[in-house]
Amino acid sequence: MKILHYCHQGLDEYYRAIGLRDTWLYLGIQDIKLRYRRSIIGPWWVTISTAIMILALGVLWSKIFVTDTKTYMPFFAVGYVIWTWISAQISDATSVFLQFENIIKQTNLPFPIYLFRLAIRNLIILTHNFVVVILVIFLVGQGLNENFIYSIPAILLLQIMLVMLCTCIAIFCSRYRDMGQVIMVILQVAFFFSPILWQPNSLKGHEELINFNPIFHWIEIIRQPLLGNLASSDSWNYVLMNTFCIFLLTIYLLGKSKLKIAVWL
Amino acid sequence: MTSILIKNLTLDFPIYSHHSRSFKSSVINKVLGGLIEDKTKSGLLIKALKNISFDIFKGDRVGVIGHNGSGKTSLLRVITGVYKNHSGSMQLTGSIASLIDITLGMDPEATGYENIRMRAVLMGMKLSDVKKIENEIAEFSELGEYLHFPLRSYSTGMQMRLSFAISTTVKAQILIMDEWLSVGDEQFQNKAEKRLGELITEESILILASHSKELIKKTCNRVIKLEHGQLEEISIDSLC
Repeated sequence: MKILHYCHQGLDEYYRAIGLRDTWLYLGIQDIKLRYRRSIIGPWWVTISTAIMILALGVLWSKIFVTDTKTYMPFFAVGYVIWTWISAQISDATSVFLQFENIIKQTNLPFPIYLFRLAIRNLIILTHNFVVVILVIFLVGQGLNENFIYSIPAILLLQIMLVMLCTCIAIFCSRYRDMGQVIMVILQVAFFFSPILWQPNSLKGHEELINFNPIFHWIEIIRQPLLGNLASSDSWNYVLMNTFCIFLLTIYLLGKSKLKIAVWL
Repeated sequence: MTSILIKNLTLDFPIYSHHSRSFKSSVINKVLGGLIEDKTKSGLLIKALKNISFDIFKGDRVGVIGHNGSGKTSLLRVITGVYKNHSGSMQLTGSIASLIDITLGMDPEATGYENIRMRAVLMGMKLSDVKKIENEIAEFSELGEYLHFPLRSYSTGMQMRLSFAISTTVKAQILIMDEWLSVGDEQFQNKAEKRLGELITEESILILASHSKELIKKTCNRVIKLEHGQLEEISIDSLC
């Protein structure tokens, strides 16, 4: 019964946060605007650095893996941009409550708004990076086909899941300060362990290495539609199941700790 | 009716040592099943507020006095709803405006108008409602064209005028202050005093924490004294 009570409290917190959408939407957009206010090309710096990274590494790695640059570059570009988006949110989440400590200690705003604010920031950066993806797909690859539509619900679903996952991580990291470091290590390993640099078919019979890797499925449901294919229903099911489990975990955890987060800081 | 009813409220504050902050030691503790019981490692528990009870009704201007560390800030934060992990009960009717940090959420790089919006949405306002008060704020703060410039180009006095104007535009029934707000030059200070006077009406509650007994004598009609987290109401005349 206690569990149900916590879950209800957690849901309520999310509900309040969604109601304050002007707050997190405006502040998230404002964060990006202010960060780049005094530079001429602003957030397009992100685009440029991503473009250079993808061009340089894309050519190099396609030679190392002895694959066709035309197929490797779009694969790498999409995977890399999506991964940057995912990992930025997770690493931001490790210190989010500390970052907004002064606000948390002065107001009674629901905690998810800080995670929503981060999500808006990172979504804006993702859109800027997507310019590179689209350019690579059209200039190097074969362009988009009608399947690309499926990448939109995929990004939405992943965003919802990531916000909830990041809430758990944020709570955990504000109680246990050394978890931030652990998460950073996990992110580093995950980048090399997941098929972002290397293609899944190079595993040659060891598919279990990716099938049980959630990050593979997260990326796959966005990547495949952009490369002109449909993501497997296995991947979709996997992500949906992930989302559901994380949803239960996050409402429980948030409901349980929302009374205490302010004193942990 | 605007009121704050507090009954048997106790606030414990965990002070974590780095041992209990770490996930590793928590797990080891669980695994060992408390075989090694070292109370010093589980961190300290500070009682910031001890079993306090008092009621505040509309029209009350409550001065809160006490030494550093007596629990003044903790009490204000409990009432604002920041610290929710207390035992006992607190019933609160009416909207709250915290004037403790009136520059909260403002950014030196943003323009005056942007800062109005950023500050207002942090107080829970909708952007469409902010539009309606922008002119009033511009007029009251006397900043005029300056509002199009970034906040960092303002003098300290101008920054304070802006944040004061924003924070006091939203009407609330319960006002919380840590020391009196004094902003700007003499002329603006009179204006600010008048504005605060309008906010604090017969229908509202003011809670003012301060070290200045004169200020409290001048402003308040009730005084509570905090000492080591314990609360005692004293009569306003006994203040000297």
